[in-house]
Amino acid sequence: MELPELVQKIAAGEASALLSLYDASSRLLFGLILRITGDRFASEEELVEAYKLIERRAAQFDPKQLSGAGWVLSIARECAVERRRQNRRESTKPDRIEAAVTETVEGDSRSAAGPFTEDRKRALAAIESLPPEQRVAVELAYYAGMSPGEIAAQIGQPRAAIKTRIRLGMAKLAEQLK
Amino acid sequence: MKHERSTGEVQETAALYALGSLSQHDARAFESHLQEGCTACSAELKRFQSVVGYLGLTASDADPPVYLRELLVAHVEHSAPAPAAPPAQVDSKPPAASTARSHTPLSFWSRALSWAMAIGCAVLAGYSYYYWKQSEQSVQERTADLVAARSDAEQLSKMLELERGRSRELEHLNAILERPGAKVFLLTGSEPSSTASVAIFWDVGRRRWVVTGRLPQAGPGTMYKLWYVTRTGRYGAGILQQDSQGHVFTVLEAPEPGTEVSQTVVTLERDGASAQPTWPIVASSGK
Repeated sequence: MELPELVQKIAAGEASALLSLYDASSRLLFGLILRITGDRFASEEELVEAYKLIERRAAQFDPKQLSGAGWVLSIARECAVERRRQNRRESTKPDRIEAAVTETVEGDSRSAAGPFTEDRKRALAAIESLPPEQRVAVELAYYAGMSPGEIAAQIGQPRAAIKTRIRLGMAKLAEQLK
Repeated sequence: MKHERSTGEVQETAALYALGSLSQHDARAFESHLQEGCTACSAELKRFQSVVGYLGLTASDADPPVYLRELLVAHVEHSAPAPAAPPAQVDSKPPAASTARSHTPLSFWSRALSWAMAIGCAVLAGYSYYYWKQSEQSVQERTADLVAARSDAEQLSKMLELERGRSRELEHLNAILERPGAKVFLLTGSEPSSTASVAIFWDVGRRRWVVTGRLPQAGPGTMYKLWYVTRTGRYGAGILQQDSQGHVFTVLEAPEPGTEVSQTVVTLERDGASAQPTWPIVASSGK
């Protein structure tokens, strides 16, 4: 069963559909959360929180607005980014900026066969095609949950320049992924 | 003010909103603007939300530990309504089609061919039997070696899995203990189960109980259930999962924050859904 159907079943009150959705998407969501938080234990907690949030928000899912994978990933990201921000507030150490930038590896396992292979290849190709300054700005906003002001302070560039880089980068991505 | 067309400013705000990078104030202002029905901003936001969905795919997949699924199963069971009576069995299969076939007499050549094939098969079977007898002994010896080696490997694998599980349990318990407000209940065994020993680690922030310990092996048709007592009554916390060696490790939803638990009790129950303890207490804390 496809992700949108499972989310709709959850919205209809079919509790077991949440487990089916977990089986179909937990590797995807856990990979993203782990990438964002960089902390395995926190990621385990946030994964469960993400599925509880998916259950609560299932009725709001609109397949015309967003794909099933995109929707569940956006909720997982929301949980993970919130956790990362919380850790950042509690920690005196600077946020690990390097962990936010996608590494491109030859023969990357992300390209291996799987339910989201084609979309994943397109996403990776699109992000890799961005000029480095736009890519860094978009990835820090996405993976580290940083505001333009925070990114500007991290990389020593004016805030207005960061906003422009994000806008241009996102517009290029939208063009390539439409 | 609605925008008549998409501009750099519209794109910038929509992109930052989709990424969750706007300040709370700016985000609320943009939401109000969307509610006014600005189609240019709505269209840009939809475009960028789709991009954000794709960006999530750029991370590598990772395997979550098995216990997380069990935690979700417990959540689903806890929040599920009482199961309805199973529907009556309805045979939805279509009636079986007739499999009878008409018989026609075989020709002479057909019968001769059948006999020839039968004789050929008999010769082949005889040769196979002879060859099999010759090699049977050595095959048996090798099979015995292989079975022994597999058994050793399986035992080692089980031990390794067990150790990994214990190590992960300890990691979780340590993490809970490091959190502010963590509480621990120690339950000691009651006669005749005086060797029973259970500890409950209360993760107040995450509202969960991690229960670990050792209990005598529950007999067929019985299970251990954890209860807690407050000023208002006794409540079932959940069924404890036990492995083949009597070890218990279960994650349960904890009572509401602020609940004053005066005692925790483990009983052996026949029915996991019972609302009150029905069998004698195996282990308890407090009072």
